[in-house]
Amino acid sequence: MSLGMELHNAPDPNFTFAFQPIVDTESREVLSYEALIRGSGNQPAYQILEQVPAERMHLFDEKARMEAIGLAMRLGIGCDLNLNLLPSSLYSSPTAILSTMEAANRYHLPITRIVLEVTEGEIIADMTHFASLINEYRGLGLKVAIDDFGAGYSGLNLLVNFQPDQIKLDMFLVRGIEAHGPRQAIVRAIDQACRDLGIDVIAEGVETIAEYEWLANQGVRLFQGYLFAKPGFESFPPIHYPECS
Amino acid sequence: MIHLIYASVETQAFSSAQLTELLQKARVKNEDLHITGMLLYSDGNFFQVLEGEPDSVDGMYKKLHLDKRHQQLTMIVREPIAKRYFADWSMGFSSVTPEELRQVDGLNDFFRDGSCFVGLDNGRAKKLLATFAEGRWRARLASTERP
Repeated sequence: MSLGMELHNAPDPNFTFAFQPIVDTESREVLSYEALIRGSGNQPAYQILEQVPAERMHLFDEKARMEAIGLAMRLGIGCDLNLNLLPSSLYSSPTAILSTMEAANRYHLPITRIVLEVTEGEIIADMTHFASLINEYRGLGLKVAIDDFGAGYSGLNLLVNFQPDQIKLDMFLVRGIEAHGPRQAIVRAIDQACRDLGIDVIAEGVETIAEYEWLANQGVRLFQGYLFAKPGFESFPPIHYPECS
Repeated sequence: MIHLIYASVETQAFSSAQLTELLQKARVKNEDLHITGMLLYSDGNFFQVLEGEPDSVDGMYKKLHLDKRHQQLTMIVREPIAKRYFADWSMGFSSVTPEELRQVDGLNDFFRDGSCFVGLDNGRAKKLLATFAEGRWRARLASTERP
């Protein structure tokens, strides 16, 4: 059976996407939309993912990216598109990224507009292997973001052998940062290292003006969070740019 | 195709005649090897982008280590790229004073007409150039004592 048939006949749960913008608060432009898995009735991602058997997860992961590209193009996306990638599917399926690139071609989305997000915890186990696999596609213009950066044990070490295009600060580091010295010290260090290496820093999960102001004063200008826009179910939601006091 | 971006420090002060000679030689060699890129010189610090096929670029970087006119070579990044940022330049060049670099605001003036930086999109090379302009990756600090 061909891979295409296998994907087609799979008893996967019904799913669709919500899109949440990553905004540049200085230029007031949308840098990208992250595609977030939802149920067809806007159920949260975990309720969908828990219905997928472990052995099918990488195929589901692959299919989700293809569908996300299709939906984003139907909605008329005019900026980057951030898509999640399970690194394990990169190891177990040779078509993991190829299928994404084919979908991009089919829908006329330039490859350079795609950002693959992988979580820090998932790649640290085999950084060298991951880097060599992903670098092949980076040569074609695909961008890479490390999600939940600073959440695990690796942190800055991760950047020694691999410099992604973006890192997304884990929301644990962002939460209440305006009043928390250790979080501030760590975020300053991450920001400095990323600046020196030409890596964009995105603050994720920003919910309050105070968090936003502290990060903006530090020089962070890319944000994703409820303060700016909630994920829009099958849509690109309206964006609110807060004013610093 | 890859790019390799590094910084280094001059061992002895370069005159503008020496810089011109260095550039002319570099351009000839780079054209042979299909290497493109740019070189920025500021107050004794070099910042260079080399782009081309991995073998050519790595070979060039290895040879650069033998050049006694600069030291403290620091590789900032070496990674695959989808296209050349400096396709039209066998080696674009700019020599700027630390004051000029400091005044670079958002790099807009820096990417002025006639320089090799026009049309550089917002990729790693441009971002690293901005960090160099901000004073990072300069092992030799700007001095006011030097003539």
